[in-house]
Amino acid sequence: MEIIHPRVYEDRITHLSTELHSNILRLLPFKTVIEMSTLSRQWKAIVKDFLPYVENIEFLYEENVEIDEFIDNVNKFCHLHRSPVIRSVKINFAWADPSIEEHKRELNRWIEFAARKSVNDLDVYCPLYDEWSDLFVVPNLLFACLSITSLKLSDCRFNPPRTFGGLKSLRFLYLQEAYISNKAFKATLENCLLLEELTLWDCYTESKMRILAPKDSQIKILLVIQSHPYDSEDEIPTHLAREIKVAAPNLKKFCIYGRLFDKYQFQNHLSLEEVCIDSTVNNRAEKEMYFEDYFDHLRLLRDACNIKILTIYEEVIADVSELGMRYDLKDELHFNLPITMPNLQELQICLGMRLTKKYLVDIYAFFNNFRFPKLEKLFIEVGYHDYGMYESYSNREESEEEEGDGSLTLQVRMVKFTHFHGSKAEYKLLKFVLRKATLLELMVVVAAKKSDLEKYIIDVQQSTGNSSEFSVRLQQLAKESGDAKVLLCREGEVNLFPTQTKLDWHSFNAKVDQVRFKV
Amino acid sequence: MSTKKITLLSSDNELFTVDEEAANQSLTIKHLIEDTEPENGVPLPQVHSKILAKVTEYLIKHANEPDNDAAAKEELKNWDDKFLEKVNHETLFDLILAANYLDIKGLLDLTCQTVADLMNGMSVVEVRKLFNIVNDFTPEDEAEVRKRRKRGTKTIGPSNDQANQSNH
Repeated sequence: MEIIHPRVYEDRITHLSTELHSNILRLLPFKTVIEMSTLSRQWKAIVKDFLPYVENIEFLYEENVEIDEFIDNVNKFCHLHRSPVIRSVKINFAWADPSIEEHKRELNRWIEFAARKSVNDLDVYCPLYDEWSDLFVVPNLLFACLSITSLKLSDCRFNPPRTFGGLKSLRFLYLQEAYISNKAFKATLENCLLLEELTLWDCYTESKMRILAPKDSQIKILLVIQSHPYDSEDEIPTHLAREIKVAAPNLKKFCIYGRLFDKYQFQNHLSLEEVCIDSTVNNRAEKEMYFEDYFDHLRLLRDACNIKILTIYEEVIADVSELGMRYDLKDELHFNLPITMPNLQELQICLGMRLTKKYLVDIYAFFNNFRFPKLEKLFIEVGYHDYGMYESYSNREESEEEEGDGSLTLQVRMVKFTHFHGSKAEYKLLKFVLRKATLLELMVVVAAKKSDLEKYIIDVQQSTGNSSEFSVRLQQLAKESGDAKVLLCREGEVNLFPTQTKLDWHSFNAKVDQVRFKV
Repeated sequence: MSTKKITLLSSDNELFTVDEEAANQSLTIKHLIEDTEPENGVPLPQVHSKILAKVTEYLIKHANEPDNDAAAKEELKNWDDKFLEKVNHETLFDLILAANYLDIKGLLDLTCQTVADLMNGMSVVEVRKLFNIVNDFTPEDEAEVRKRRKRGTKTIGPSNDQANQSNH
């Protein structure tokens, strides 16, 4: 009889050479490397030997750590570091006290450390802004760092020195609560010719923001997020831009989130393919103050009518509806409705609040005032959040006539509704689309999580199918749908998503987690 | 056009024949051929036939790396993923040692990445279990770690290590 001994595995990993250990450790995130020092005594030594050569560094805010201890530890680390290069540095200096000059000096030293080590990817988050003078000044050494490809900075004055020759490798620039003058924009755009993506999150600048890139600029994506609403009681602070002028010959995507600009001027925008206007922060009272600038984002849509992908939020829908009624304004705006977008292939409409009858009127008006002859896909998200201030100006009661003249057709082949709760108004919208979309092949309706509709679907799926009002309404839908297939499903069951993902810029945590420290 | 064949001799005297182009990805083999022009196969006394079989499989697949063909690159990447999918840890570490000894950068990167991927996202306890690492910290050491962790300085290691070293 043969006896098979159970195989005893050895600890192979600890006994690899120092070189092989660092080969493996260099592939791990900083935090994991530090954690590995608690595996065993030998690993503690292995990690300690490796740390001076670590190339991905994170100094992140943690609760329970005294700020002086944090500063001390970072400085010691920098002092002990031996590798001539560093790939990435992330600093979350969330305790920084704007009134303490020393904190800004320390931050500058760390940035200079990263610049000297030819960093590729630098991400500094230090919520200093309280007073205007609190911003820290980006050290000149960083503006001479030719290796940097991705730069994220917050709460700083981004002001390239006079001798600035450009960040020759920079592709991605993200500024948050930073001050950048038009002169600094100009110097940056003219000298950083590989720059592809520019994100400005609550940045301060002059009242007319000018993003004027040279002819050979590679800028493809411009994202502007303005989560600070105007304070309706005060004058508009002069360092918040009210107008934007963009000239970027290769710009493909422009997204504006939050407070809209009063005026948009786009030059050389022939390459533009994607636009997103997320205006959910605006409220009507503010807009009335600056009435002549009320509809300028719609002019943007008219000017950029050759785009292929568009995402809009409920305020834009309401504005279109209102403009449709304001015949007195049309001459003033040199604006003719309907607007035709001859190349648009994909439209995403995000409706913040639960659908109401008044809301429906605005949506009908929107579809009556736009033409999308090449539309392939339509995504409609209803009631994605419970805040927001949707208020229609129409004050009309919904009726069949409001759906517009009978000749309106939607040239769309696929429609997806998400966050569907199953209210009467929502079904009305479905039926409207089914009637108008004569070429429709597929309609997907995704039930909102935890809604009664979702429960109904679960019941049907488990074939305990109790007939309810839903099944009656669904039968009606089937009648309206003609040749189109209508698919009712739960979240995650159908893999059909819009090209533009949503940015949850409303919450502060989203700023930090989703955007800044996205993995 | 016929390509030159290279014969490799494992530690247990098994012969493996590959094209010169494939073999040259190993800088060690390349230099051995240039320097010694061995007639009866390149002797590789540090590599067992079980591992050398795996290594030659990799060398043959990677002999003609595509430059610009995105689809071919994708295919090769998928092949790499599958290549190490069913390999046990014993073999994985033998492959790391072999790739290191034979100086095959691609294979070394791939195997080290596989180990890093295993470690990443795992707790310390899980990593210990996975690689049979014995926790030889004394209860006092552990108490110290816990204390430090409570203070939250665990992400900034060197100063702590410095401090601890002076205690030793």
